[in-house]
Amino acid sequence: MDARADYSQKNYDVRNAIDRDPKTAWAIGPQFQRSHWAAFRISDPTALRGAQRITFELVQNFGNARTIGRFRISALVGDYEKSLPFERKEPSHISELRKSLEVLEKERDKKVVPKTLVMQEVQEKRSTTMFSRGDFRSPTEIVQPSTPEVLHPFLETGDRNRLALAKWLVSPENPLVGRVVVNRLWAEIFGTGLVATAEDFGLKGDLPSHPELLDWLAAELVENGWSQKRLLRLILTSKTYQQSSRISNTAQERDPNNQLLARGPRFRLTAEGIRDNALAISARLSLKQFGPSIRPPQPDGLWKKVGGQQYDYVVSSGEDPFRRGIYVVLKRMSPYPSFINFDATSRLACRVNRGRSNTPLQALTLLNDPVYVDAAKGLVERVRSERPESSLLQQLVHAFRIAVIRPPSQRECETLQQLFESELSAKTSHSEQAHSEAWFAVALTLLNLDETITKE
Amino acid sequence: MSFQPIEPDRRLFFRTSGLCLGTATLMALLHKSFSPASNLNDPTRGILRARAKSVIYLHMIGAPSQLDLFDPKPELVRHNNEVCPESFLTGRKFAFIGGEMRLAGSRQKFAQHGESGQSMSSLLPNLSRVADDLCVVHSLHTDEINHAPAQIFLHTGFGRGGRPSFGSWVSYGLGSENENLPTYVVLQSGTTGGAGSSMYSSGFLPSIHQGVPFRSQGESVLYLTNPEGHSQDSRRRVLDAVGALNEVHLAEVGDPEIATRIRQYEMAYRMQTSVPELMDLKDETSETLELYGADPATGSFANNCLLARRLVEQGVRLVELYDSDWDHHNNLDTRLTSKCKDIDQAAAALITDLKRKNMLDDTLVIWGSEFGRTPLAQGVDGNGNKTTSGRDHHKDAFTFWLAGGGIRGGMSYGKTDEFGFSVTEQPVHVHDLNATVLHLLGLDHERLTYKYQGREFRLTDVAGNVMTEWLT
Repeated sequence: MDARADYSQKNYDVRNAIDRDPKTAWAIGPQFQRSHWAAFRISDPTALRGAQRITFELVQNFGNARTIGRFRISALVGDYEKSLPFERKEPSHISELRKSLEVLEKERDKKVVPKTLVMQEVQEKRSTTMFSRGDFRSPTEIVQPSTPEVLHPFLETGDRNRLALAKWLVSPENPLVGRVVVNRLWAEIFGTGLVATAEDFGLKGDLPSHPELLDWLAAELVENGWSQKRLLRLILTSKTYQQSSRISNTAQERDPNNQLLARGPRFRLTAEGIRDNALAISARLSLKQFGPSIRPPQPDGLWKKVGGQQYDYVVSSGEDPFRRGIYVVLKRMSPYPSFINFDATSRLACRVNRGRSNTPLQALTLLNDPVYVDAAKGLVERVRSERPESSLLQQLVHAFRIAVIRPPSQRECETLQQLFESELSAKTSHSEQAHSEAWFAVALTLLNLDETITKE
Repeated sequence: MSFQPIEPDRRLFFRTSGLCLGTATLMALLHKSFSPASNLNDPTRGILRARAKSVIYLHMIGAPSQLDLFDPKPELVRHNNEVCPESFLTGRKFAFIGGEMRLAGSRQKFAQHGESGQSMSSLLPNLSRVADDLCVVHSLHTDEINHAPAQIFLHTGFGRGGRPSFGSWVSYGLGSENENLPTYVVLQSGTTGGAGSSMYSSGFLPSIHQGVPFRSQGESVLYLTNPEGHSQDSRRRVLDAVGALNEVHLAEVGDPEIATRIRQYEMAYRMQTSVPELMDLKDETSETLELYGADPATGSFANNCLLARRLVEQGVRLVELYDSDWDHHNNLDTRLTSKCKDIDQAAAALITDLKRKNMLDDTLVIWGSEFGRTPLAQGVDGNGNKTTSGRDHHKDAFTFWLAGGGIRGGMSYGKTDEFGFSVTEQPVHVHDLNATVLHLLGLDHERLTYKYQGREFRLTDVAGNVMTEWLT
């Protein structure tokens, strides 16, 4: 039998395809994704007489998904050479297009493009059934996408797809989405939502403390084209929000959770917020946006075994370690430990409400985590560069203002001054080094104040 | 979090009055007066009379062979290397073995020990001596056939990640006895095993309830050490200044959270001394170190047993020890012998030590694993090469033992068939075990719930029976 092909890869001649040796083969690399052909001539055509069945067996053994696409087989008789697409040259305009495509593809491959997953409706809807007693092996009745009948009706016409569901959710007949959005923004601002169970507006959730207010804000949101910026401005410029967060004894007794909103909100920042805040205070914060996750310094060995796998943790370089907390890498089951100490989650389960604990581990984190130690050093550098000629007192006042955005009282000044002086006097010399260390103690103190990590 | 402000009061209450039924009722009343909303998550709902204050959970990662340690099967030995009758295999799942299945009798020597006559093999000479303190359960069974899912199932009552571990449930239900230390501490010997941190994750419970691994290398608790060049004296002065400034602000705005934070900073300072002291075995007598076989310089299982006793003494509720490398698919005899040497003396010493310190009555000690091993031989390693015989994973019958903390000692519970394939008497599901552990700590597994994504969750899902026959 004779074999020929339009192209054969080196050491993978087309004749290998029919040599009965499973270790040899025909291959066409690197000319993938192009048309190719191979022709095999039967050595004794006279053996075929009349109507006969020919079995053609194609074995593809490479195993790495390099299989033939759009496979076609033809049987030719007579002077078959003329029928082979030997001489068929690609028309010049096509080869030019191909060349420019290759150039473009090379350029594209050089660029690092951030990738993300997108959703697309499948062309042919898959059929979904009920399962008898919940067992996936016992499908019963086929069901169609729909929404609970007790709620406003789903689309009468058109495809029942994700877009339709989105439209149904935000339709004017459905007040729930607006309320939920408003409630979550409210919770961001006040610490607790008007419905305390932000994750659950159902029968088992809490009732809203101010139902009319929630409804009115939801209506405002929807009527203003779902503008969150407008809603935020509305809430933030309200008298309710702008009240002092001072808590009187009676208020603490009668309404410890501030459900009645008789005072302004006061609550600890989120895990990410505390880090961003400290970096901003130290003037280390980078506001660079977008791109892949960052890896700030964390204790060694935490990624040694995560879900049975070992991962390398390489601390980011340049300004990356100082970017905002939302860019910190998320590793399910092995989260960034300083965030965990401030109630972030390990992302094994979805959580709307993180809770807000107050623990000694938080104190240890802010006092000893190298990230916060560095932030304290940053604050010292900042004060010195911004107030190089000022007196110690003026520098202390400036540092205090940076940390809590208000001037210190007389007593607060004295406390800081005493700390600085006692630190300095504990040193053996009054060198530049001793001076820096005393300042470090002051900066560490300021970063650890309850007021610094609290919104009030 | 809505229930946060009452936390200190609840803890204070437990500290000052101990746990009793009266407390629970009174707490329920107090709780009502504190929280206006009736459907908040309320950990005090499930409180009963506690028999145990703490739990030390010895988890052998990888699953030791019950058939070579606790559950002698003379019939299996008699039929050793015979092809297994089909009737034992139908409907059974195995993780790896297939084809022709041959029975594998144990090559270990068994004897009965103590007045109770508990069966144990000669691989456990020290545990044999405390046999009368152990309740050995031969009839555990679980739902999962592979390590990580079975480990997560044992810990959380569910075969995939995302739900809270029993330790987190205990922390949520009972709070801490010592605010200087975490409620749920994890100690590891060998490489971190199996499902890793998802075994002690708090799942959907607040993060404060997760298990805290005390590391044997570097800082035992993260961020415990002062930054370089910052002395403990400087730290004291910084904390004094932080405290003074926080006091000023507390007087100004009156938020009780500031008062809590002032206390937590003082606790953090104390932890900086107390934790290294606790982790340092130097003040244990050489007699005690020898009893456990502990060597202060290593991170061994023996050290961890001794540390567990020290942690429990300090009021840690739940200490879980993970010891790795019990997955003996091949070379069973050599590997099991070596692993038993790692744990036998220390586990027995733990019982003895707790007993002589009068701590065993309110400390529950549990020994076990995610599942057991097959009565069938497995003799192939991961690359398909023949090796000395081992055993595959077996979820249908395996052994646990419990001691102290309200458990009847010298008791054998449950029976398996002549080869050890199935439970024939007194089956105990993982949910039953977990229900019983909670019960001993004074928690009702049906009432200790947490509402998440619209429904109440429990450690024991919708199952679990307290094994009252095990209780004193």
